[in-house]
Amino acid sequence: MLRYIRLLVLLAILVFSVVNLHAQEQPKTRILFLLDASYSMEKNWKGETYWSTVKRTLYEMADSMSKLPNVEWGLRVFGHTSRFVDNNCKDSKLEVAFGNGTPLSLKKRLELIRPIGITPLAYAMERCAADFQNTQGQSRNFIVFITDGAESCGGDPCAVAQALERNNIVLKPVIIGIQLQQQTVEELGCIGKVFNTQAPSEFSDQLKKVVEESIAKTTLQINLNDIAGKPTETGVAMTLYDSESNMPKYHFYHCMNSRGVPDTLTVSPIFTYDITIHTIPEVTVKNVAIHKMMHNVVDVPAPQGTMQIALDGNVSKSASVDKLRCLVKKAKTHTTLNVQSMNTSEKYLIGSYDVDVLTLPRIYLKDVKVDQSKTTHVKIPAPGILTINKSVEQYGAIFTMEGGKLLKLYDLSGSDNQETVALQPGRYKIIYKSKFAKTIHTTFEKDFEIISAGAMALKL
Amino acid sequence: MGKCIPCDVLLRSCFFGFLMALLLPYSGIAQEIPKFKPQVNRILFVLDVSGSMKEKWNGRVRYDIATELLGQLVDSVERTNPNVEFAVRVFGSQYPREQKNCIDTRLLVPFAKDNATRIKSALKTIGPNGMTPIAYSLTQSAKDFPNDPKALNSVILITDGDENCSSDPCAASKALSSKRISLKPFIVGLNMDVSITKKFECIGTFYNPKDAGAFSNTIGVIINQTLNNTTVQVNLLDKKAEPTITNIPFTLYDHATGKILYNFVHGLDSKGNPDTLFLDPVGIYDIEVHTTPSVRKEEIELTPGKHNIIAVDVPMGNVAFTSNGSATDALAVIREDGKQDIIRVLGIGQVSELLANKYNAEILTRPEILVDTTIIAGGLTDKKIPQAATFALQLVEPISVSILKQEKSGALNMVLRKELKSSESILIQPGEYYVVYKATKSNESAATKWIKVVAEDGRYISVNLN
Repeated sequence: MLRYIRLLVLLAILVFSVVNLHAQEQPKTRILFLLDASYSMEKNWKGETYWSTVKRTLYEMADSMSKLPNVEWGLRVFGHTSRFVDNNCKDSKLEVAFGNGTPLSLKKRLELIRPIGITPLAYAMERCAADFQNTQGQSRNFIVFITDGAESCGGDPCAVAQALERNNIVLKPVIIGIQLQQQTVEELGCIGKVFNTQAPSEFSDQLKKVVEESIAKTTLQINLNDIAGKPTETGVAMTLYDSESNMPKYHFYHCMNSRGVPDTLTVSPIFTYDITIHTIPEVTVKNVAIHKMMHNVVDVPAPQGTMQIALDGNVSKSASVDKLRCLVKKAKTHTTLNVQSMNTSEKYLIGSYDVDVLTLPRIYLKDVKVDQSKTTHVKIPAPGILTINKSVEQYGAIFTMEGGKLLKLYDLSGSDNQETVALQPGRYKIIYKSKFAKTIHTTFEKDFEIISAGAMALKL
Repeated sequence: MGKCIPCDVLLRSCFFGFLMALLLPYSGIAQEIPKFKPQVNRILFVLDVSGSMKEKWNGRVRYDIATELLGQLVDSVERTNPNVEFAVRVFGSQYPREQKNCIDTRLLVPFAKDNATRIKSALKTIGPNGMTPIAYSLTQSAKDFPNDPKALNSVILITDGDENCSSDPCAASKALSSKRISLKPFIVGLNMDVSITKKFECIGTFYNPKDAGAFSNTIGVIINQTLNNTTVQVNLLDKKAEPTITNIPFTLYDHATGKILYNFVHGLDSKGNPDTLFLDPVGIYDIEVHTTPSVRKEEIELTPGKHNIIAVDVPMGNVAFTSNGSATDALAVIREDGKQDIIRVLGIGQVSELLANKYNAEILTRPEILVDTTIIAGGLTDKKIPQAATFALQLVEPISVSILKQEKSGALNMVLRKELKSSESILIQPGEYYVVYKATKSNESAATKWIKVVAEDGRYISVNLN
């Protein structure tokens, strides 16, 4: 007992010191005790009853927990407002809400409760969702579920537990059983881990241990390694998924602490994680097991460099230039990883990339290398702006020569009097014919040259 | 540029003049495409003087009939048409058959104006003698034509038998036309066995006149044909194989060299028929119709002096990628199915005409959407892009933000990352997202926050990132 309180005090100091240092919010831990108060809880248990053992243990814990910052607890009870014979399957109530969990309020409440009813387990669990209100952000929610029997209302606690988890409301519930039958232990297994206890002392120890582990800091450091295997990469978002359910559990921006090492993250030790680093492209490591109450270090290779794509030359802002996009793909693949605009920089994992530039004509860059911590400058010659003036409707198109053949780049709009096209510097041919041409032999062609960032006018 | 400032852009001529001066190699003078009209027609007779020409036809020696009729024809054409020149090459005239000389050919009379007398007298100086080296003679005839781009050159081969020097006359003939030296040879058979005539089909157009009268007539027809205009009509066929499609540029290439010969923009005449082109009948053409993507048809040979129809299937349909509600600046990047070159980039709502076919479009929304589309000829394929929602990201301080989309697999894929200094609105496709962010000034991972936001079509969603 004494050992336990010492630990809590130690934790308290630790948590406080962190808060003082950074004046930033630490993730809250919320623990909801879900308590079975069906009439069977009145059974004798080695000089106590099940119920009195639970009350005593909870009261002791509430006292020490209330001294911890960032820990809130609540109490939900079922089977205590209607008699067994009434068979009330909606008999569950939040007795102490989060934020109000003082030892005094708990004591007051517990003194008033008599285990008299049935076990509407699924219903009670379902109600828990509402108890964790405002659970956005980094709070870690736990349900500690204390029971001596199985569902008695035909509900499906498994389905409810899964829904809670799917909706990211709670981490896996933990069940502390009181002399459960083996069949019940198995049935409850789908909700979460079951600790079946056979004696009051075992019950008390187990309950305290579970809570202790919920609060105690299990930490994780994710090293984003560069090409040399040094953890120098940072500044990207990361998602931690529960490997088993595939549900995202945490999101962090990777930071370096004041000592220049990757920041320490506080995570629940209950899960095995898949970790996605939101680099371009993303990197995922699977099945990262976390050791409880320890500092865990995970190495993820995420070597990155920068690709800067810029127009070479002074070009006046225009709609056609603003629309120039670059499709970046892993070399020799055809899936766009990122759409980069002109005159921007973006970080990529090191390697070779193909870049399709939506200029006219298109530019297909192959094997653009991105090297560790370097910036690859991709220079695209600034296009020139061609203005075509027509007094009558003209049909035709603008071409470039490619391998001795004409490659069409742009169809003239039949009707507009004036149209503008951004073209890369180079030589072009325009082939056109007036709508009113008498014969096809009055097709005209003109060769012209576009200079980078220049302006050019053609009158047809 | 200082020089141009006073005249400003209002005076375009000044501006344009400046550009002209700047771009020295500018060759932007528009020129009409001339109708093909040769200034001189050169006709080379390649005459068989092999031993077999001694044999009789209608009671007279073949060689005598052939040379006599040829002389008369040349005479009369020259008198009526001053733009025609003749020359005569003979084979098998110099060495007796027993010597099996397979390079026995020579230019008997070269091209010149008013050649009839010379031709007639020269033909009298030789007589039937040796082998039939047709292929070699055709190859040699290439040198007989003066280098004159304004001429239309023809070869008329007069023979009574098959090649007997085991060379390939077809290849020799093809070389003449693909190198644009002359029209494909015309072959006039003298009492030729029907079984042999098949072999001449690949050399050129084959005539087998029955008797002397028909022989004379045939050559007259051939000469007339070479003097007539060769016209071409390009039929751009729609899905019903009707030539209704027009206003599309097309290019005629020389098949052998790949050189561009003509560029036209297709047109219809007042009756709605495709316009008539006057083209050089010599050579083999490739046509490329500049639809999107373009359509090529290769190895087109024109029949000289006739109206030729080149039909190209270009069934086209319109495509547009549309989205309801607020305008989006997304682009649709279109590629042919299975290919990597981008054939068109369209704005949302923009309509474009493409060949009826299968395409892949990459829509540069956030996140990207990949659309496979089949464009139906004559129709409008309207691909609906889900209407984007707007995330109005409300800031109280600069943040780093990453927006992650929840995929069906459960994976979260980043669709945007940004350093934001002030509030900003972004367009985002419908779906479930996690907006993960951290104050830029904070150096602590624990300061990361996130919000799950559901983007519904067209909805404006205020996302408070404080």
